[in-house]
Amino acid sequence: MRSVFFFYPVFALGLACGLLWPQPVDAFQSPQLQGPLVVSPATLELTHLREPKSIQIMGTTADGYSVDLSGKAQFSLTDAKLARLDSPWVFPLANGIGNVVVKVAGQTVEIPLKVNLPKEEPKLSFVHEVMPVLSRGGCNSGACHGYSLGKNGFKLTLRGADPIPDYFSLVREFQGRRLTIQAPEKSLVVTKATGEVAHEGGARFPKGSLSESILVNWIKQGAPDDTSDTNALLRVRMVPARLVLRPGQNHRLQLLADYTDGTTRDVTRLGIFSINNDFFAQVSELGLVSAQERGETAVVARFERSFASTGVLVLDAGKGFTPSPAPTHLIDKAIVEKLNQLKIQPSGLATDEEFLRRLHVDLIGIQPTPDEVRSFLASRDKQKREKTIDALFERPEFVDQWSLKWGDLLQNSRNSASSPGVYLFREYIRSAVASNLRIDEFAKQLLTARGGFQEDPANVFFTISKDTNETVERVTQVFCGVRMLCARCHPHPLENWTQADYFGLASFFSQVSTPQDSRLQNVPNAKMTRLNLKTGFSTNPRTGKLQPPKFLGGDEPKLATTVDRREAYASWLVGPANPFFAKSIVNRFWSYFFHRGIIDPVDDIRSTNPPVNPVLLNALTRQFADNGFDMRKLMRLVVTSEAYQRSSMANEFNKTDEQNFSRMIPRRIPAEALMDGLIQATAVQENFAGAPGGFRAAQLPDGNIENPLLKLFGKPQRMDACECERDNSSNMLQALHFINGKTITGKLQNPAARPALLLRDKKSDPELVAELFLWCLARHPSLQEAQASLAFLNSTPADKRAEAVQDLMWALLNSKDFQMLR
Amino acid sequence: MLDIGSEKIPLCSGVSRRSFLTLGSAGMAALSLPGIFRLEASGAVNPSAQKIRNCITIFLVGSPGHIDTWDMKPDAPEEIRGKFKPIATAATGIRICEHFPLMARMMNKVALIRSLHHRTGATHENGQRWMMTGHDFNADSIKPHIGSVVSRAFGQKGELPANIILPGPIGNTGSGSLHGQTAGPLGSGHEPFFLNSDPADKAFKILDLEAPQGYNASRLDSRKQLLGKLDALQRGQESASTKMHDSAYERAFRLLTSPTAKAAFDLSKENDKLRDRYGRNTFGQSCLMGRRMIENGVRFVTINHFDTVFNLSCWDMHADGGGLNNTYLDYERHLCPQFDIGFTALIEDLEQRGMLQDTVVAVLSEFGRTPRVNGRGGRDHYPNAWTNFLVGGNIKGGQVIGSTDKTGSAPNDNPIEPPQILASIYHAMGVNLDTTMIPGPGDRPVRLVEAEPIQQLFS
Repeated sequence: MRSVFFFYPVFALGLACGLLWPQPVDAFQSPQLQGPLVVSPATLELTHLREPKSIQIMGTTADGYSVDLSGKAQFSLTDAKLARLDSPWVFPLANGIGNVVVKVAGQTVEIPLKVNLPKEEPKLSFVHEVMPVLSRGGCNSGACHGYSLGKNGFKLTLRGADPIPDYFSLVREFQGRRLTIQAPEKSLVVTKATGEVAHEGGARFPKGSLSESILVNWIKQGAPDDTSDTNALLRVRMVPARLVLRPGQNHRLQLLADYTDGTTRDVTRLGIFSINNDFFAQVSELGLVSAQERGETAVVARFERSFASTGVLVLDAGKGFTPSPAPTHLIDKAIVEKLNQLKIQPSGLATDEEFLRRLHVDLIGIQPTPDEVRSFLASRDKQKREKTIDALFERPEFVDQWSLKWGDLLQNSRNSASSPGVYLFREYIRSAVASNLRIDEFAKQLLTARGGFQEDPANVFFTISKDTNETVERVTQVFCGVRMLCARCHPHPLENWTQADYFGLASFFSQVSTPQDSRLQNVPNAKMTRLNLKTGFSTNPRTGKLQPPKFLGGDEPKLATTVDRREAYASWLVGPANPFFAKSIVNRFWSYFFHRGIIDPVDDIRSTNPPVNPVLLNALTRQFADNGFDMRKLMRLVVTSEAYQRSSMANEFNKTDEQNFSRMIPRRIPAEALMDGLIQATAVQENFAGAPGGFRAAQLPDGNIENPLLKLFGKPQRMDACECERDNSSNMLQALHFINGKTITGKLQNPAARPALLLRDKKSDPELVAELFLWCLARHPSLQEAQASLAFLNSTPADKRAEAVQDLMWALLNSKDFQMLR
Repeated sequence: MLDIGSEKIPLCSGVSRRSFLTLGSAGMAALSLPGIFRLEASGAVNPSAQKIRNCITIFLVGSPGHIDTWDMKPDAPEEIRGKFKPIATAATGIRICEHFPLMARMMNKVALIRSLHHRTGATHENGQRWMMTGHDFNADSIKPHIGSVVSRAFGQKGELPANIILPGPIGNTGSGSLHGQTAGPLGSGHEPFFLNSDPADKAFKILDLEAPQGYNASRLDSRKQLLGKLDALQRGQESASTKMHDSAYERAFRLLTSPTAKAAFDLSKENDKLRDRYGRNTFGQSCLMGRRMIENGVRFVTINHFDTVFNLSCWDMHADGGGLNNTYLDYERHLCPQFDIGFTALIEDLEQRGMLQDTVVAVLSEFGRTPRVNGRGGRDHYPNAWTNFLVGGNIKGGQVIGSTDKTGSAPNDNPIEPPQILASIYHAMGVNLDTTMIPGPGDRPVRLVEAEPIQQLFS
């Protein structure tokens, strides 16, 4: 479930003095370029004395690598009066028109230059210059003054969410003691930030840095207030948007900001760069990317609450690599094309036994029995894998498995709903899965449910939320894969969502209330989903104004005042205008068959968390929509792919690859499947306190089950719509329970358990060993495993034979191959 | 930098991020160095984190009346001041109940906080949740026990789990099962390890650490050897998940087989005089066990003084004549002496071993008890005012923080709420509350507790 220990990064700083730009040290000395050079910007317009602009010169090699030529280029001006050159920066000097001449790699490029400075230098902007400095210094981060209680009496809005209170804190609070207009360098905000005065947060930027000069000059000018200025940031862009590099190679990035007044600033020096995975590449504070290991990641840049990202693909020469032929299967085509590009050879197919166990556990939540394994192995049918897949869709356990999943996602639980409501909602989900209800229809039914659970069991979905906010967060996370919670209180730190987006969504649901069902006064938590069509929109706490309904990243629909606004939302949700629905479902379900989503975490879709294989995700999404949102067809497509059926054994090429689906990555079996597998293997039932007798673990109504094994292995309590609530990690307490706990030993010692049953059948030692392997691991032992097991049985005296068989089974259940899915 | 949410451990994308800290040193080898450095930079694998102090929390289930114990009102009318009298202590000006004579002698080490209060209902569970997690939650998402947070943030030091509760969990205290002593969303790897056995009992035995019945040492050993052989044959297709599995088993077997771990739980290694000094009862021997746990690398020990409030002599002094029939007599004859002896033995012992400066001891309860003695001679639940206290670590003893009014009905100055106590415990342990975050709902990073430490405790 929940994932990292989280830390708000305290931004490392030390923006080296202003305009120094590290020269790329390059392992890629004399590349063979192909095609024209790309220059950014194409024309250079300098309108601001304080704001130089950089020039990027980029080329591409014949084999597709990006090359940063800016460092090697010679720059000159046709008119030296216009500007000063400090490669790659151009500083304006005097108005006029000319060219910047660039000579590189035997080519000459002329970039039109226009210097058009206003008569009077504009004052510094609090919003567009000072606040970015505070962000870059980490001053407004959650660990520092962005903390909701502030720090040491000084509070800023989190990550610069709101200029107005920030201006007040800095300039007006405590009679302006933080600023000293007469001696700007002595201002507390400057001396604290540069570390001249004791500062708990340490020095945030050095004296003489660009950050310091912006801050000091702004104070010098009397700390002008432009918080009501209408010129706003439209977007930030990074150039280039994609890099293909060799390990060791460097490349600069340029960060440009487009404003609503039509101007573009070069904010490379003011942005904040980070990389999603620094194993593959690293990025400096100034946007210099250095490639490390073969793989793919993305650089994310933040400036003024907006984000831009650049994909970074790191490739080496791939000695001895031969591209794999392109398959026809939609999934394999996208994956193999990507692997060819990455020069990664995928692993071969898994054995029949490996495939069968993987398929059973993933698709129906329980491993195959020995008979199922034997008959699958014995079959000579070339289509046997496909036929088995089709047969599993018809198994009752299929319904258990996927109803369990939806029960988790929809948080069906007696923690928040009544017991009869939970069972009825469970049945509703089960019949939807059993009838393969189109998932768009399923979502629409849930989102427009009303009444009590007697009339409409789907209504339980709404009654689980404490309030409208929780509904917004659940709906968005489950059906769009987007986490909105952050935007409830401040702009989302990693995406462009604001409180306007959040409460725009809330207004679709503000007509819903969930009072106790008056017919069921004595049933705790038996709530109704009631609609009051007259209820107005939700209030955006930032503006204090009503927020009209607005689709996520979409339009504000014009709705009549007395309609059920959920209808409009539900139609939009599953319609073509919503880019999230189908994509997030496909991505989420993909992750149930692999060790990760194509976007991961699966319920954290955002521009700064790009998919590892966009072609694959788009193809799957399209196919899913074309197939009428049919979940079984989607799953069938996934499990019939070679990607799903690959071995987990790595080869020379893919041993370091864990994100491109070039082999199966072993993962731990979820709690319920582990429990049901254990019951099947030992032939001893488990009584689950808190559920009707005879239920399998996969059938349990919720997480309110007193069972140490399920609890230890991370069965979720369904308190959170996050996929992360399910914990699939391994830990010492689990191991202790498997080694000594009564769940395992109790079952093994049971006189009706597998060891006793097998002994009663008077099997030979080799037969007995094979049976135990089949029951526990759903496969035959290897030769060495059989030898080790036989030696163990032989070494025990005849009167201890029963114990020895139990011990062998104990060892198999404790071995990796029982708890792991290969 | 901007790692939240997208934070990935290089080459370990199969491991959930939370799992990272449960990997232990063996699993760590699988991580690339930059990944470690980044986490180190953000405080997750800070090598100096080993230096944080430990904590023993004594939780007084049922809750003593503040006016009868550490916030006496001798000048108030009889129906308020109750039956007990205050006595002078080693700290000038601080007086506590006459039935804590031993504690009175070490009062210069203790910092009393007399202005505690909380604003939620007067159930035991509300108070337990506040004081064990620093949060109020009921139907809301469950918040982790402070020891689970410490386990998650700083990992396991030695062979024993980082977070241990003894002798057992809090059972029925009247209103539901959420007592604030679970790992909540932090995952089962950080669940408190409950001893579930009475250290005062000769038959003391910890489930899951002891071999099941009918297993002798040689059988266990041969089983383990067989598992080792089979596991070795199953190698060759490793992933972060399989490595985590290996590491979990390695740690489990180390705990099961290590003589030091076994000895850690063995109170017979202590001399009889010391065992007597702690008191030969569940609480006293739990305190002694708590010290042994800390000595053996446990970071956070919680001692539940009683596991229920029903049908036993405990702090829940309703004097109702039925299942909740605790009275002044129980306090005088049984509860106060038992606490006084066990608690002071622990502090003394820690000090003599040089452990007190590295161990924070917190004595916590759910609430106070009504200022007015009820018609049956008892006092009922009262969350508007109560006293708890801290000792050890860098806590400055011999002081009182906050006070209540003349009748002990409400905080008079410096009112303190439970999250401030939790923040103070974290701070006293050396946890940086500004840089240490845990995943909140929807994986959003949240502070451990929404409060600042009480500065006065440390100055």
